[in-house]
Amino acid sequence: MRRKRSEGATTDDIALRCTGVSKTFGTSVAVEEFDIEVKRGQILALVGPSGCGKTTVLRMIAGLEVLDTGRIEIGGELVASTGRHLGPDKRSVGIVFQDYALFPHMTVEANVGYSLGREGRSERVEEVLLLVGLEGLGKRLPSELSGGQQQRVALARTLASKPDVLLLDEPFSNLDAGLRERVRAEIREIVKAAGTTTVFVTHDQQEALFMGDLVGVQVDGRIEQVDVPERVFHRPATNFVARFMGMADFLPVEVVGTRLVTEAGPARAIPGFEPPASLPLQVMARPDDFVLAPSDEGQGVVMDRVFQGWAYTYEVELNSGLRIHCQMPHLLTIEVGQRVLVSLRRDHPQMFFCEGAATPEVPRYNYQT
Amino acid sequence: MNGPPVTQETRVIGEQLTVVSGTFRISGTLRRLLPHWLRREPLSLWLAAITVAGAASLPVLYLAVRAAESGDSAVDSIFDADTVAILWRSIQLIALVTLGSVLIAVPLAWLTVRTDLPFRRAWAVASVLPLAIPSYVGALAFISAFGPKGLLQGWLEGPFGVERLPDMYGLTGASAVLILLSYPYVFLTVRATLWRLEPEMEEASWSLGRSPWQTFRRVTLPLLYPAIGAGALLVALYTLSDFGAVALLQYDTFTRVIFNEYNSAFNRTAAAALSLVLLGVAVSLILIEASARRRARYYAGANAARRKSRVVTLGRWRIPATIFSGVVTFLALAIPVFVLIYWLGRGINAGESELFDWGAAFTSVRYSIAASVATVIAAVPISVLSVRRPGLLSAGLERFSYVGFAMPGIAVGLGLVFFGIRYATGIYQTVYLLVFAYVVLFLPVAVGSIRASLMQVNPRMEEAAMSLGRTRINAFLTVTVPVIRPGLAAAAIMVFLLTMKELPATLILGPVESRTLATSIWTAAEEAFFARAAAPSLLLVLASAAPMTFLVLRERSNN
Repeated sequence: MRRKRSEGATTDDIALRCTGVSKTFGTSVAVEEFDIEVKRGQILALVGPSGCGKTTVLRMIAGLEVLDTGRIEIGGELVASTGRHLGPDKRSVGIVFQDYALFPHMTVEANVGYSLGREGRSERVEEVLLLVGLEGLGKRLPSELSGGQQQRVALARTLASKPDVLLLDEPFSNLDAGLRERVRAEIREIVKAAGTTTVFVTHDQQEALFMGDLVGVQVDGRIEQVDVPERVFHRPATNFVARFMGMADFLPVEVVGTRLVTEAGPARAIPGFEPPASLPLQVMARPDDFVLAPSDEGQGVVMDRVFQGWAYTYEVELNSGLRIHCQMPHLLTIEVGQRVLVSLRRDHPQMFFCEGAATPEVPRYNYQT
Repeated sequence: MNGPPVTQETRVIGEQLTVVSGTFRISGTLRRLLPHWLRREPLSLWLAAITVAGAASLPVLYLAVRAAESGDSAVDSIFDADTVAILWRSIQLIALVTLGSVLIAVPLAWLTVRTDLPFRRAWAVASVLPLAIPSYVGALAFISAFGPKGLLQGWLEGPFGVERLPDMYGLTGASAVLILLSYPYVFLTVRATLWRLEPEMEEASWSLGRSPWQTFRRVTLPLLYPAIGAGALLVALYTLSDFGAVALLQYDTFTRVIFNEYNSAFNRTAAAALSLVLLGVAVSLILIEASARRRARYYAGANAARRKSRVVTLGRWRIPATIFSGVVTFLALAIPVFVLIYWLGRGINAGESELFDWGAAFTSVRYSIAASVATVIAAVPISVLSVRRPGLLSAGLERFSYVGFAMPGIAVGLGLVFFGIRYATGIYQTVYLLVFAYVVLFLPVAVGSIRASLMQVNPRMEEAAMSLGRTRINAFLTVTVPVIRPGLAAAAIMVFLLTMKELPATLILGPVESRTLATSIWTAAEEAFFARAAAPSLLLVLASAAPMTFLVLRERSNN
């Protein structure tokens, strides 16, 4: 049976801590020096391109893969380190698989009650089914449920045993686009209501930003940045994070006295910004950071225009040959081939990058919410 | 050389081809008379499929006609006390063989797929190979090894003075031999499912706090039930239709009694009536399995697992598991092969002149080629319609093609004897009626294989070809056929091998003068002339073993 969490055994309220976790399959490094901390009740969204090792991290936390080096602690208890491996049945961790892995030969009730002892099982099953909004469907077989319902059964099955940590592996990838937004809101609500610490893996930035209390961006087997969604998006620690979390262009910056000059005009830095000694310096601009104005004197030419309903996204080639992306309200339509004046918005400070990292430096690990 | 008959048969097959392609050309006027839903496929395809299904049900029809004509005497022999006794003996045999096969095959399949059993690939191949041994060869080898005055008794007599071994004839011997020869059916179906099971199922169970053993009992095993059921059905039908082993081991089940009624007692009414009862038992077995499967319908649609399951470390169970695999292989494979080689050696030493009957081998090959070509051609229309036009009619046609699955060779043979004597004296006791019997018997195998490979073909490919200006037939031939060629080849190979081994239908329907490998082994075995049976038996075993090894190894590399 599952080991029960001993209340108050930990000095802090960190539910999950990974320290220097590495894992190699044959010659390919899947996870390298992976660090993370998740507080009780928090949702961590782990996001990264496919093949970055995020599912491997999840499986190591669950105990389904054996780590090579590093430590994993759950609720203050060491469950995995070099030479030590607690089996998945001995950890208070529940995992919801991408395709749910419901037991097809069991009813919804039997699935949800699978981890429970005989005593109080039916009450707990009822309680959890109520939590996920599936009351009354207990006698059905998984094959008689819709995709969204199956997902909630999988979640209920995992929550039934009150795991210390809940793991969700790409939970929405099997759902239709229309259903996805509704379901993820529901799941977030359920998990928050249950108060369960959750690690959620996805390759979709929007999902990560929506679901996570914290967003961890993973690349090549390690954490590139952990922070709250807003800061990961607006204050990326590296070039990679900036590009991965949303469209971003980088313009070379010339330091002229105290002024920061780009091809799209002056950039604005936070007060007290000291340009680093080592150049070249770049400024990051999201599509909504640019303003376009049709002008024959302009320094750019519209190369492409994508209609997105509420806005247009223009691709503009600057005189230097650099291409930037700019989002403008649909009220103004600029034709392809039109010369435009490109400038940076003045109403908020921009982020500057030097040699692939933000300057001034943004801490890679920031757990302050 | 037996040259002319080969060309004659090839010509017949050629004519059949022309007929088939001719029917494809039926056009215009006739088609317009048809309801809309029939018009979507070429009418000729439906006609071809209906013809094949009708032909496949001929033997059953004539058994029924023959029995009905005899009226009361047929009814009497059905409700005879003897029939009840035969039924009871058959049921006992089926139950024992099925149970024994499952008990051997499930652990063996699990060990060879999921654990670190040493040499598990070799064990996997060795565990399938008993399928290559025809039942009469297996029975012959076991009689020669364990029977009275057999090899074992001979060895024990010298040092220990053992003059009698426990009697191996009857239920004991027949069930032992049939278990060892037919457990691979369950082994194969269970293995295939084990490869396909999503590892997430078991992982979910572990992470929900269940131990590996609880996981196996509550998750893995229930998910294997459909595969075990399907394999058990094959074993049960194999046992029911087996003639060679029960005849040599003198256990009176349906097949042996029917053959004796027909062959020795010349009581054809009784033979026909008993064949109908036999058919009824086979159909009941199929229905039992089908109803069990309906309850387990969740299993349908399971697709290939995307990730490999974790290998289970056997630890201290390594040695017992290896011994278990070794004992099974020793009994089911090593003993028969060893005994055959032993007798071949003795025959050579004794200067036996007719050790190998080349004429019989040629006849076997000719019959088998004719049967495999004809069967594959007959299987295509039904397979195409049942995959591409699922509906009442195509499902019904597919069911009819499965007659051979339920019908033991002896019943098909008898049905065609009655049909031949009455309506087709021209082809009675010729190779044509015999090949027809093979087609009826092995059509399900070919349809199964072709259907399976057709399911892999996206019908959009053919539609794309047609939108690029090809006709429907041309699109099928240039796009679909090349893709399903492995399925067609597998079907042809399987039918070829099954025909090589088929005994009762060949005994009943074969041209009077002709001898095949199967019938010459049978004759030699009946007279306990082991040395003469050894060489053809070894040849049959080797011929079947080669493609089987290939199939098992390919299954591995696919995963």
